[in-house]
Amino acid sequence: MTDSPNIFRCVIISPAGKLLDCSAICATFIAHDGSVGVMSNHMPMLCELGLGIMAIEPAQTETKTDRKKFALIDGGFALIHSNMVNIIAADAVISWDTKKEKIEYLIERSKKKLKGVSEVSEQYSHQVEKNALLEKLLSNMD
Amino acid sequence: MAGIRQILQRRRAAESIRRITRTMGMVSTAKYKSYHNKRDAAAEYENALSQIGYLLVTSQEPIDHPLLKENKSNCSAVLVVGSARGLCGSYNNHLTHLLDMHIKNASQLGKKLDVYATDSKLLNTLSYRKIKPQKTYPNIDESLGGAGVDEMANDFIEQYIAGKIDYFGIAYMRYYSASSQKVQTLTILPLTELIDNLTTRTTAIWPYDISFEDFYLSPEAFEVIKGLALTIVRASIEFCFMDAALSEHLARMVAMRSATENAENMIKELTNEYNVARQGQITCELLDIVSGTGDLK
Repeated sequence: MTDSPNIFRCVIISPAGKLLDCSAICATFIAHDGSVGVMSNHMPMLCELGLGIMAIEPAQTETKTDRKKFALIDGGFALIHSNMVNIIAADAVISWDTKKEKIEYLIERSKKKLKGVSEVSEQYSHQVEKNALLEKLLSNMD
Repeated sequence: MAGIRQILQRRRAAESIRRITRTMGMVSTAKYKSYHNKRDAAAEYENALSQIGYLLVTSQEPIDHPLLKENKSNCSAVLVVGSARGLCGSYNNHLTHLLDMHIKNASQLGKKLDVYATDSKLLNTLSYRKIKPQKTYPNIDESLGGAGVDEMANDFIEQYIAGKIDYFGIAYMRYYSASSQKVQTLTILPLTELIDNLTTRTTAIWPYDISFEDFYLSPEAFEVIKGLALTIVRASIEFCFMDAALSEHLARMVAMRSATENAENMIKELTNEYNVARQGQITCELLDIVSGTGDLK
């Protein structure tokens, strides 16, 4: 937990492990019904996540830079309480600790997977949207 | 005593067995390490999910959802996770004994038991014992890499909600440590039992002074439970599969190590036998030469 009044703890956990645990000033993520913004001392909230890019503005004391962090979140839950945001993602790709090649590989792999899926299915549209977001994440890394 | 040629043939065979078992042992070691890292990484995810689960089931007013209620359909389902490949000691035997106990319990209670299995070596044993699985799912490696786990989770949740089954458990080899693995059945449905199971495994259940009623839920509790159930069931199946894969590779590592040691001992014995036979042959030939030379004199 953080002592400063304007910052909160932000944690991202996925099946691949803990991807982020830092102090942040502000974070926005995509919930099941739209975008949610969080600042310090947010009310306790439990919400289901959708597919989208999460943006985290880390506290300067933590990273010594004011660069925003981006992560692609695909489903899961956000648990906000005690000045802490826990993102429990079903699948997540982070931009700051991942090589560009890996994201490119993920895009290629999902494009291959799409070949066997019907174009009218929900899975197809979800995957197409995810690919577009991965490309956006890739462009954010430049 | 066998002839020199036979001894050499046997030694060559033992050497090729040693090479194969050593390679298989190395492959299993690499896979074991890879699954071990994945399992360690997934532990935090498991803890986080069980915390949300705990929060939902400890609400002052119980949430009315079919997955949190018990139903009396008089039919249970058990998924048996056998080894994907052979040569792993008594791994599948332990699972067969556990399945026998389930069958015995079900018949004692007068219940129907549906057996499901992953594509594994266990299928041969089941067919020998005339147990026909209701459905066979892809093996562990394929399930963990693809959408197999999603399909399983959806199948059993739908069956439970429809009232076709009142219990769903996974019989698998649980990995406690590198020196301890035991067969056990993890109850997946009803969901309350699964959450109860998960919370007993976690390091910290819910260390905060805040209860379920303080949270703003989006969407409402019924919908959250629906999404959470699918996520927890899917994750629990994945953890069971990971444990099973870890135990399988560990069992194979141990089996291959002892097979390699046995082959090495056999090679040593055969080498000694070969040396004795060869020395005997040399002595024999020398005696022939000496006696021939003596005759010529």
